[in-house]
Amino acid sequence: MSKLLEIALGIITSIGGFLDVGAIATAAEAGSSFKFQLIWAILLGTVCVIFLVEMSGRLAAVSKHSLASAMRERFGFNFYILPLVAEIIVDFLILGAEIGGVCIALQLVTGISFQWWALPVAFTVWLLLWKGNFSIIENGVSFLGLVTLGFVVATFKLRPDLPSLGSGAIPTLPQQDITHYLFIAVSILGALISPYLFYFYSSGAIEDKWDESHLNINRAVAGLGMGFGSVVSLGVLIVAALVLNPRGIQVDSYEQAALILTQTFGYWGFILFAASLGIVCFGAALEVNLDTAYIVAQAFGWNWGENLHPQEAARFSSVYTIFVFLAALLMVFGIDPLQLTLFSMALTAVILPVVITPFLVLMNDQEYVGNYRNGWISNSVIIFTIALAFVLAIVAIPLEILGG
Amino acid sequence: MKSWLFTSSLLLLVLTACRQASPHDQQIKTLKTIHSWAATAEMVGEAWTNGQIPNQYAQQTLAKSQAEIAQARNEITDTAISVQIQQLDKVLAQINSDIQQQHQSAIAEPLHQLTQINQQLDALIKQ
Amino acid sequence: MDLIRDVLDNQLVDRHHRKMGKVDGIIIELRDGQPPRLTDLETGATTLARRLHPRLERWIAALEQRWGAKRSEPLRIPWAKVRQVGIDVEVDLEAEQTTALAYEQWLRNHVIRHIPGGR
Repeated sequence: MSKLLEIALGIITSIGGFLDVGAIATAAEAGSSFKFQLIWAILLGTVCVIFLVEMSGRLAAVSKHSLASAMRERFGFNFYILPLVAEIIVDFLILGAEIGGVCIALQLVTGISFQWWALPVAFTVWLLLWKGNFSIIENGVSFLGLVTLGFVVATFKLRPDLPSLGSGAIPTLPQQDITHYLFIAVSILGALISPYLFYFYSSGAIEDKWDESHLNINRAVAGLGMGFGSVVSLGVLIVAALVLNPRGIQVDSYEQAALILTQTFGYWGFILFAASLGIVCFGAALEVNLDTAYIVAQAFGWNWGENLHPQEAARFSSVYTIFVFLAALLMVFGIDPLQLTLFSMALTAVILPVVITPFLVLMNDQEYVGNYRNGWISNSVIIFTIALAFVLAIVAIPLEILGG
Repeated sequence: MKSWLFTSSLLLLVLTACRQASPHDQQIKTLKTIHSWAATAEMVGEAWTNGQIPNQYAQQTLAKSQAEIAQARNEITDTAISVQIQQLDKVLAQINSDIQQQHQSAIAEPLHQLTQINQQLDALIKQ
Repeated sequence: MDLIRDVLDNQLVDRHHRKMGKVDGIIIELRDGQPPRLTDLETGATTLARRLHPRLERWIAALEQRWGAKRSEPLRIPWAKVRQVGIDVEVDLEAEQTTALAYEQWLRNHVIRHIPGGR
């Protein structure tokens, strides 16, 4: 029974982990601009992310080492510095965007401009990390993430046409705006296959003291949790396609996305959107900030852990303290949150190869995963994902310039 | 596999890069942006009438629509369309001031005009 | 045992499994007519920086001499103190007593403790 409970809890938390500002923004933009035509990108990204998350968890449960530590130890610091620096830069921008998401949610409800909210939000994120422990971060906040199921309910209420939904599952090119279409496809994949998720998840498995007996939980959480998260993303896309697209509204700004639930739920739909955006981004901001502290501390072998008192891991807690306030400055200066989100998603795509390629080696190294090495299915998926990552990395920036 | 994907995506890039440059496409793109924001304003107006959104949000979003449309208007060279967009701007300003003064009944008229302008814009884009 | 793969860059822990940095360098003594001998492990930011670029090492050293704990000397751990080499390298030391944690201690005493809730 307690195993079942743990699985249920894990699934709920990973819905929150899967969704972030990028997933919501890219899905809303995709649906409003191209109707159901980009459903395939969410499905493809979900499959990749399920496998990679499962591997991150398995690596940590069996080797007792997080993904970042394992990468540094196996490939040496001179290699690890590459993904480390890349990830810190991307985390910085994404954290700014997540804080921006929370600020926009507050602006929608209060009318007070998002810039004013940046520092209070950053302070709240910091306070929770400073005072809280891992299970508060993991369970408390992500439980609230269940409000996002509102998008799924709205999908059913709007009764989408099933055959046209199905046709979106197969990649096709649109008649016009091809560069914009490809740019959003890359952004969706960048938003879903986000490296911070893997680093965070594997560090979390260590915080929760996972061992081999948790491998089944790991599999269920990765598969079902990420699967549910993806259903919510699809919900956002479908609702945007049914509500905004027929009117010719293309989401260029969060104010436009805020209207997608009012048609179905009236005033509460507006509040529900703001709550979903705010909670999801707040949860993700906690994760991204913590993730940065994890990878830096693990890079240098410092003591780390959200369950430790700040003074037991002084350098670790200093990193998340400084980082969150620096990232909040991006919002204080008034950078457009949606543009920042899309840019960080494209940049994520650029750094994917250096993050994902080491999985292939680590997950087949007996020293780390013993008898739990990858089977041929996992290896095929990872090889495919690496190939995909290289393609995304090459096309992301040209597409950003041409179609973003 | 990898090289195949690479060449095809590169080819696609080159092809689309050439296509984007035409002035007609550029005009359509600008019109789409204007239409998108005008439609946003229409939806805000409707939602406000039905009491589905807060006042502050409605005003802010209308102001944003006006600003975005004003910016896009500079790229329009066709005078006939330019005049139409001036008209659009007036209507939006009217709606915004009605919301500010909480004129629930007065808003119906400019909202109706906005709907018509949006239909015209839509027709222009689909031409 | 493969020194580069199993020792270099691996997690360094003390006798209570307290994390105390990572193995940033390996010191090998070359002797005439005899095989080279592994003498020490080194841990410290300057050692690590040197492996990336000599200039980076000078910058880090200059920074560390001026700021914080004012220590730029890496800690040398005699190979004889190494208890076990797995994925972690365990040494027979008390981490808090060594200079490996100089910056950790400095931050703890000068910054973290002064923030409410940090104690």
